[in-house]
Amino acid sequence: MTNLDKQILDKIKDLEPIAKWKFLARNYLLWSSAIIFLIFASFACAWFIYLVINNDWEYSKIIAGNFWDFWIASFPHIWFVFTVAFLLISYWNLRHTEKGYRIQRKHLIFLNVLIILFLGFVFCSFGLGNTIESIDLEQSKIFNQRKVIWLNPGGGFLAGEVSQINDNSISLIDFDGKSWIIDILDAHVTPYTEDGVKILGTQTGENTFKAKEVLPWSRIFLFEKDFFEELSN
Amino acid sequence: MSIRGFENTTDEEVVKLVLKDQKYFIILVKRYEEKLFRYISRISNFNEPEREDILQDVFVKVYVNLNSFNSNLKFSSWIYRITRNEVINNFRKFKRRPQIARIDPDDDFMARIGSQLDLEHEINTKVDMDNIKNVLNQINDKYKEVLILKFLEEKDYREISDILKIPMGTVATYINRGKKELKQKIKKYDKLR
Repeated sequence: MTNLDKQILDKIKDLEPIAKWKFLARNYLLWSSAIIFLIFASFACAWFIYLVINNDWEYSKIIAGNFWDFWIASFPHIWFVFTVAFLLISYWNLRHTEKGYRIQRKHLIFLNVLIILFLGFVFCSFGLGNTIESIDLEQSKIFNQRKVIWLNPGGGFLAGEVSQINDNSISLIDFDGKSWIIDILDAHVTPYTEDGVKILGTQTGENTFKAKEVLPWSRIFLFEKDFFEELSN
Repeated sequence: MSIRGFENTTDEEVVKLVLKDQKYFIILVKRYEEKLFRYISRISNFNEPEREDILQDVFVKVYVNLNSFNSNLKFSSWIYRITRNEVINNFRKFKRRPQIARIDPDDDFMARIGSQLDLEHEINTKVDMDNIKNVLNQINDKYKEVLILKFLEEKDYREISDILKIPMGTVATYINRGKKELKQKIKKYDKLR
């Protein structure tokens, strides 16, 4: 036995191999984190898709004056950032699993993006996107600027839930909880759902608003309607 | 402990024995100490006592982490990976710039790489061996590391991928780029003569 062999054996004499479960746990932790963050990314993507689809691109000039100002004010940047951040965390975890290095970086990212987009569309289709509407106004400033944009009666924009329908007017509780009487005599009213309405018009008093256009607050996305109907049945 | 009688036992089988009884670890030490010492010399510029220290640390890490060895991987790939990581750790520890040592290829290596590059003719007749060695030492370290594993350590693509923890496609790319760079430098050198 050489001197080096002896030194090596002396060094390991009092050591024990680390238990196998610790390595297995690390690998399971990486896989679970990768999957969890992939799902988080898909949730964020679903909200992003919902907000992009429901964004009022056709009214961009009326709302912000020009397309780019509207884009900056209303684009759901936060959900895009969350989607990318969760995607990267998921990618990092996958990359550090036992055999994660065997897949090309670009292939792994592409695969993750595909899964997130697919799940994002599926979640959005089954109504997950809609849940973003349940957050309060304070949080909306960050997570759903659309509500903030449409709570500007002085500027001619109002949104909320219809509480009562009369012949020439509707009663509305806006997303900030304030009650309004909306004059719809000369307005073009598009059929809407219980999600709420958005109204273009002019503020005529403290609690009164004359509508030019009454539109549904959100668009129904793919299977969302059927899914809700099935749920209610 | 004598290692006679274990010549036909695979590394993976020896690992199982070591996990039952530490005394079998000497078999792995004997099988790999020379190869790994040579590999450390090839991928670093540490002096001999430093290389010995690194080698000792490698075997300690191998022993301590033996349960993390996955039999889907070749044991040699796993131990080479640990060795490479230990060398990198030592670069950091001594705040030394990672630098691959000068390659000192033997005749077999020259024959292997010559045939791979389609340069047997140049190597045998035009450029002398020392100059080829100089050219070999001028190529990018990233490619040189892969060429060392391929042509000096004689590892296949899968093994290199497992040692360096990069995809096989990237290994192939590095080898091709390394060979291309080497070929260009040899031809350039040849023209200058």
